[in-house]
Amino acid sequence: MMKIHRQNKNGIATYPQRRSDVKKWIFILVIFVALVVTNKNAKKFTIKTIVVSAMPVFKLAGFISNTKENIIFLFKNKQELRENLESLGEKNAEMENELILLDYIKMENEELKTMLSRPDKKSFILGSIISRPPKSPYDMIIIDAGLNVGVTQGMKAIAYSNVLIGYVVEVFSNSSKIKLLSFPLEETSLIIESTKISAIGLGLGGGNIEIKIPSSVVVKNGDKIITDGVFHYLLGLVDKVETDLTNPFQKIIFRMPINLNELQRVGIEKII
Amino acid sequence: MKKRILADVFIVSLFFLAPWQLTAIFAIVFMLLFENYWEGIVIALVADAFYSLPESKFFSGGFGFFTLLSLLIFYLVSFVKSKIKIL
Repeated sequence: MMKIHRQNKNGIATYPQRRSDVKKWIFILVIFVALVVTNKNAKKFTIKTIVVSAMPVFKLAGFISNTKENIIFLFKNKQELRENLESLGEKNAEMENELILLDYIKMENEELKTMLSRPDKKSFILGSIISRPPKSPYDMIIIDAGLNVGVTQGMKAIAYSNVLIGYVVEVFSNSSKIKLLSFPLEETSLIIESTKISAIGLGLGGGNIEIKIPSSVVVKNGDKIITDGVFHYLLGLVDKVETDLTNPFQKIIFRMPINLNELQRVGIEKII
Repeated sequence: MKKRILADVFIVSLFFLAPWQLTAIFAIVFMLLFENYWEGIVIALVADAFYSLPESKFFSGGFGFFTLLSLLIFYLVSFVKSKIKIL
């Protein structure tokens, strides 16, 4: 039987009628969302459908953002750029000298690991970042590498070849989601290099990670924090040390040593 | 209708280019300005699909949080409008 709506003189359904329709639709949608949230397969299907269909737009948006930054760069103050170039040149020379020593140590380290049957051979899959905070509400990034290039769940995401930033948590045909180590309540096993103390880092969100260790351990700002295990990655540098005389533990807060806004690509470490 | 299409284009651009807070604010504003702004809920559903993480708690990174929140806001806006609208 056809339902007849009460209409006003313009032939439009009256406001109470339209409101009851809205209520009906809200109810239907709430039921739909509840079903999708509770059913694993339905959730996977919905997410996959939306992500795959909207991904080209996301890639286009990433391209527009990059182009915009390039155009802004053209109009930057030339004097400021020259000063930056000079200071970076000096830093570069300093770092090159350090690198000579580091190369030797790295070679020695690799030789030792090979002798102990733990060869340090890593290979990476390169992925371009297409969404990052603050565009995303949580500490996660989306990259344009997915199943098509061999990315699988659980792979490590590495920046600048030695900084661990997170893990792949969801993979689609041509994109993946990476959960950053600073994701709220995310736990990471780590070592404070200067003291060789191992601890658990707890993500705080906003790129910050917190560690709680006994107050008796001396930790200074700028101390390196690395991953535990045989092959270490840099996690960050100590940013803040909070001590309280009444508390036997001190709180150490550190940030990832990278600027996510400047980071364009990440390497996904292949599991061999 | 023209204004609504412009608002849709604007909010979609915000979603893909701007910080999420801006998108959220404009979605609420458009829900207040336009009648039954379902597009706000669609944007929330897309945000959930893109930014939710598996094995995350519902309130911090779980799928469906933004969609349910937008439905709640949609209902509240519609309720408030019904109380102040003169027809």
